[in-house]
Formats: sequence, C-alpha cells, structure tokens
Amino acid sequence: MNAPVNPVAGLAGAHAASCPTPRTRMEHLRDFRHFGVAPLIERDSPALYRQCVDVQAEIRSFADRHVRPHLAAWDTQAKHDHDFVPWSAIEAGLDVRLFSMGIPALFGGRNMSPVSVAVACEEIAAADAGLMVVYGAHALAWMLIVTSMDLRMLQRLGREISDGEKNGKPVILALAHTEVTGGSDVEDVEDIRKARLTSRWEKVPGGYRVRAHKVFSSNGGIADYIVLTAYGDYADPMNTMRSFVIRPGTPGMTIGRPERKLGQRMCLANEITCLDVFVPDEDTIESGNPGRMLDSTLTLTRAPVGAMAAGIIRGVLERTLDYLAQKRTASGWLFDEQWVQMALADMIFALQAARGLYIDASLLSEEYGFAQFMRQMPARVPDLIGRSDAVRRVTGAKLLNTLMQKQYERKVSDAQVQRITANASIAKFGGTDLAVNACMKAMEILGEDANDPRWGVEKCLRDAKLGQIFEGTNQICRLHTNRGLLA
Amino acid sequence: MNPAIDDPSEERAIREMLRAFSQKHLEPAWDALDEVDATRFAGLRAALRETGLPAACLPEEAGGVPLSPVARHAALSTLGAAHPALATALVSHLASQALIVEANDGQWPAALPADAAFAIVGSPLDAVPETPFRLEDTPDAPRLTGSRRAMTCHADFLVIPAQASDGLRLCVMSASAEGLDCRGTPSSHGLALLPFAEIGARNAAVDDKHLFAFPAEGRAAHEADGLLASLIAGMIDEISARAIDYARQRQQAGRMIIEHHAVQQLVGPIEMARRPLRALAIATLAESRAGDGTATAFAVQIARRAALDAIQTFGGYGYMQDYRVERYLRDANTLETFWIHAAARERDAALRRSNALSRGEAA
Repeated sequence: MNAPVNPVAGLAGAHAASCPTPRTRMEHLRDFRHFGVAPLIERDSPALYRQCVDVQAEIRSFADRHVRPHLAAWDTQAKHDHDFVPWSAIEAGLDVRLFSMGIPALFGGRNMSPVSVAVACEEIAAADAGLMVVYGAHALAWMLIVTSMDLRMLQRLGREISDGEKNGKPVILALAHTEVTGGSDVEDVEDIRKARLTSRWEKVPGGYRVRAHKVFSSNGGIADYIVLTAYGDYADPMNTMRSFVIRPGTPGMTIGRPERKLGQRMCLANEITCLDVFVPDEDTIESGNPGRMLDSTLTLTRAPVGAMAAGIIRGVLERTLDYLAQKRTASGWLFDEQWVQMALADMIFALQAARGLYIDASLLSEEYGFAQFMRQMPARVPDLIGRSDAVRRVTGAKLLNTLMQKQYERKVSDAQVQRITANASIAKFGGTDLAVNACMKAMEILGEDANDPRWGVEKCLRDAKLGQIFEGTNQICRLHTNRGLLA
Repeated sequence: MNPAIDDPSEERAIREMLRAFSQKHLEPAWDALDEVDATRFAGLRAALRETGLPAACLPEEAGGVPLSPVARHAALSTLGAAHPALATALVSHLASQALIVEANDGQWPAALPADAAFAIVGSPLDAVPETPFRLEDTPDAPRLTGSRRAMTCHADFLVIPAQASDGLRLCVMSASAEGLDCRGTPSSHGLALLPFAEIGARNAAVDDKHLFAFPAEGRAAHEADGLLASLIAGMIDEISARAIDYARQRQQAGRMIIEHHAVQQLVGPIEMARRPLRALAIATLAESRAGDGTATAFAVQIARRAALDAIQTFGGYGYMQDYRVERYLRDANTLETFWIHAAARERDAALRRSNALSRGEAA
C-alpha cells in the first residue's frame, strides 16, 4: 500500500511549492521494529524479536504480491459467487507456513509464540481480514486440540498439516462449535449449562454416533478436517463435551451452502449437520477437563482477533492515506483540512490502542499461560527424530496425555487462565470496537468515493463488523473481563 | 395541538398504500434489489408512479400532488423502511423537482416534461453547492465542463449545479446528452440498487431553456433535509422492529436475549430514537427556510449506530444477508458519506469562503 503517488506533479511551480505533498507515509506505524514494546522484546528475547520481524516481512511480501492486487476483484466476485475461495493466495501462502504457525516443532510446525502469531495476524488482516480468518479458524480448531493435550492427535494432524505445507498441499481445519440456537453461551463454561444445544454424541462399539447441527463454521466448506464438538448429556454439557475430528464426506455429514456474508468473503462459513455420523474412537479428541480446554482455547484465540482488528485499522489507515495522497479540494489538499486531521489522529490512536491491547494480552499468554507451559517442548526438532517411532509411541501413550494435563493444571492455575482470558477479551472487544469506529471515520474522509470498491475502504468496515461478533460477542467478552480481573 | 402533525388518517392511508406497494413489488425481489438492474428499476419506478408520490414536489398546475408534512413524512419513512435505496432515488427525484420549481419562480418550466425522472448530481442537502462543474458562455450555447461521482438513479434528466462567471446556475441535462459521459463504478457498499457513475461533462451544450439561476433561498435543500430525515427515520423504525423481534425470539444462556441488559443496551437506544426523529423530520418538513441539512445529519448518525447495534443483536445471523439488517448499515453509511457528510463538508467550505469574503470586504 502507500502506492508511490506524486500528486504535486503537474501543478504550477509556485503553487506546488506552497502545497507540500501530504505526509501520508506511515512506516513508523507498520513495522514491528517500531512498536513501543519491540526494543524490550529484543533485549529480553532476541529469538522472539527475530521471529516477529521475520514473519511480518514474509507476510508483507506475500500479501503485496498475491493478495492486495486482487482484493477488489475477489470481493466483488465473492459477492455473487458464494463458493469463491482465493486458492491462489492460499497456495502461495504455504511458503510462509501460516497453517502451522501454532504447531510445535516436535510435530513439524513453525512453532510460533502467541506474540508472533498475533503480529502475523495483524499483518495478514492489514491486507485482508477474511484471509486472516482462513488461518485463524484453522488455528482455532487446532488450539482446541492443543489445549486438550491429546498428543496422539497433535502428532497425527500436526504432521499432516506441516507436511502439506512443505508439499504444496494445504491441509485445512475448521471448528464446528456454534450451535443453531447457541452462540456466545456455548463459549462460556457457566452459560453453556443453560444453552439450547443441538449436538449430541452417543457411545457405540468402536466409536461414537454423532448428531449435530452447527452454524457459521469458518472454513467449513474447504476444510480437510472438521473439529466438531458435541455433548453426551445436555443437562451436564461442560463435563460431557467431546470433540471429534471428522472428514467432510463421511456418511451422514452434510456441509451446507456458504453463508452470504456482509464481509470477510475470502473465508467461507458453512452450516454443518451430522445425522448419525459414526466417528471411530481414534478420531475422538481426548480431554480430561473440557471446561479448562475451552477456557484455555480462549486465552489463545481472542488476542489474535484483537490483532486482526489492529490489522484492519492499519489497513484502512493505509488505504485512506493512499486516497489522501491524491485528493485535492477547491482549496488545497483534503489531507490538510482540520477535520481530516482530527479523524486521522483518531484512527492512529485506534491503531496504537488496539495494538497495545493485543500485544499486552499476548505477552501475558506467553509468560503466564498455555504457551509458557508448551515451552517445555523443544523449539527445534530434527525431522528424523520428530518422525521416529519412539516419538510416535510416546505421544500415543494415554498416560502422558493425563500427566501433561495434570502438570498444566499445576503450572497454570484456573485464576491465571481466567486472568489471561480477561485480557485477551479486552484486546478483542476493545480492538474490534475501535476498528469499526476507525473504518466509519475513514469512510467519512472518502465521502463520495467511499463506496467505490477500488479504494477498498468500505470493505474494511464490512470486514471489521464480524470481529465484534465471532469468538464470543463483544458483550460476552466484557462479562469475561470482569470475571477474570475482579476478585 | 400542532396542525402540522395532526392528521393521522392521512398518514395511515399513505403508510397502508406503500406497505401494499412493498408487499407486491419489493418483498418478492428483496434479495435481487441489491445490485444495479435497469429493467427491474424501471418496473419499480412505473409502479411507484401509480402511487402519485413522484409528483409530490410539483406544483398542482403541473399535475402535482401536494402532500402535508405528515403525509410526506409517512411516505418517505414507509418507503425508507421498506427499501432505503429506492426511497433515496425518490428523494433525489423530489429534491430535483423542488430545486427546479424554486429556481423557476415556483412554476414548473414548460420546456421540461413533468413526468420525467430526475436525479441530482451532488448532494440535495446543499443550499450553496461547491460544484466542480463550470459553465461557460460560448456563441452557440452555454457549455458545461467538469466531473463528479454521483448516483444517476436511471434518471431521464440530471440536475447539475454549475459555476458560471456571474454565479451559480442549475443545468438540467438529458442523461443521454452529447458530451455527457456516465462511466459507472457500482457501489460495493450500500444503495447498491442505484447506479453510481463518474459524471463527466466536456463542453456539453446546455439548452438555454434548461438553465436556471441557482435559487438563493435554499428552500429545496431544506425540503430535501426533511425528506431524507424521514427516510432515515423509516430505516430506524425497521431496524428497531427487526432487532426487537429477534431479541424476543432468540435465547441465550436460558433467557430471551431481550432480557439481558447487554442486549437491552443495544436495542433500547434504537427504540428510544424513533419518536424524536419522527418529530424532527415532520417539523423540518413543516418549515420553509434555507436548508442546512442538520435534521439529516443528526438522524443518520443514529441510523448508523442503530444498524451496527441491530447487527450485534442478531449476532452471527445479523452479519448474513438473509436477516437483512446488514443492508441497512450499508445504506446508512452510503447515505452519510455520499450526501450528508459531503454536504456538510461543502457547507463548511462555503462558510469559510463567505467569511473570507466578508473579511475581505471589511478590509
């Protein structure tokens, strides 16, 4: 973005001299190196600093080449063709290894930390929030498996995803958790007891029989595996929640038509129904404590939504500055109008605030949350060892699974999980509220040109709105904030 | 008792007529009415003509159907609730009529067909428009040059304010006039039923009989303010009804969501805004003074917030086109950025210009 436009060219000499080019470059607001916290991270954790700088540069280069040039056309096409998927970008993005960003090195993944994952999310969302959600929804499903600590499943899927990236074949996950009649309440360990649920499992020889009706499953239409949650007893959903890894096409499973969405059209969202789907035991995710698994997942997934919001704000700011770099009024540059200056300052504030919130929440998660526990795993593992039978045997042992769960409970207390969830929730609701407001301001600046798809500004608002809704509405996030931070 | 707002029977009759129009022509095609489609639009325009509304701002002797402020509010708010884009095209048409009549000393000019469709280029809220169009006298005819993005509404005539050497003019140009170019980039946001185009004029000849001094009184801009505020009030009526309906059906955590304070905080303010906005719109329509666009500017901020909060009330469903509220957000945003904020921006510029001029005179 910030295309090299020289709007002064063509003006008469004296007039041009009196109208300096608007100050529309924003390197200091884009590069991780310039984030306030970056020097401290560099000092205390050079490897993490390097990871953040590198991943940001890689994604920027990928997005500049394979995403930004096509966005307006893709968005217009997807308005009518609801099955549209930006496969060329997804395939080109395999080199950056975003599908394995949260997968430990032991399973062949990129092994990124919560902070660098969030920086990556901002960078993709600055180009396109819908594409970020392709990776985000995949990561969300993955996180549910990670926090269950089912090492056998982690080994199996982690390897397949990582190998897929190396072999040029994306292996994509989707989570099917939201119920037709249950939204934010099924993301809350207390409210879920009162939610109206429509997904049930029943134990049968060799596996489970699942009946489920899920909605808004992001990636549902393109996933290689659907991670689907269901309940054994509606009267006690939290303790009887189980997750199943199901391949689309399994008899009894139907993937509905993609939803016709206001924005984020690069990511399909589908309804999923299971009518007596048989899931073998080995495709079931083992989790001793589903409530803790759900809460721990939220510690890891809400801050990236805040990062997405920061990315949207940055994206809309970049696009607005591109517009201002060439827009003149009868009396001079639109950029120089005081009301525009006020609006721009509010947008920059929104970016800094949203970024501060997600970095803060990610650092907390890094230092005191699940990531801290996961650091016990080696950061680098030679492929030969990762694939060895020994590792496979160890990770397949149920006992290790139970031991790890116990150790996690000892290392990271319930109060800690709630506190991190609270901070992640603040990053999510604060960031997405700021993003919507920033996009509204940007549209005002563009005025009559705001609904012209070529500027891409109105699309940012359409994309931003979903951030206030998914991953727990901003209302439920506010309630989680109080629960985690007030004693 | 305020006579201007005391005729509920007239209001009811108009609302019923337009609800029937909506049931017959808009409801069955609601999904499709979100993109430019000239044929479909022509059908809607023909059906709307039967209601008499497109003649609302014509003088009676030209076949006009004068309506009271309450009736005008009822018409625009009902149509605004049913389909904001179609209602916007109607406002563009009525504001054009009002502007032409005001510019022509209260008469409809004989040279213009009274039953044609008109659309304004620029914001109808602008009493003193800042226009990029220039009008130059040449030996054969006045000629128009300039360009700006505008909603053309498939109109037969475009009403274009233009700056001449001796003041503002109002040019009424056939949409197919030679030298007038309409290159379209459809809206990717709201009011998507309407064609948006870069209207470009390059020495386009203007018929003398279609050229008027721009009216200094600004009454047409004020009329547009009242009509548009009514349209937006209608949008908020619809948004509120949909959000409250949904909040009474949907359960979360074992309760109807309307019972949650978190949801009441969303739908309450939308519902609370309805009555004051109705009063504001009717009062605006009842006055005759220079327009300043304030009623609309006030209403549209509430509409944008209301649409965002209604989507939030619906949760994921609100984000999907099937539940319709998302279109009201897009429409409110496009109204705001295209006509309302643009008008305010130009009004500010005009104010600065006039201040600068008066300071110059004082010096």
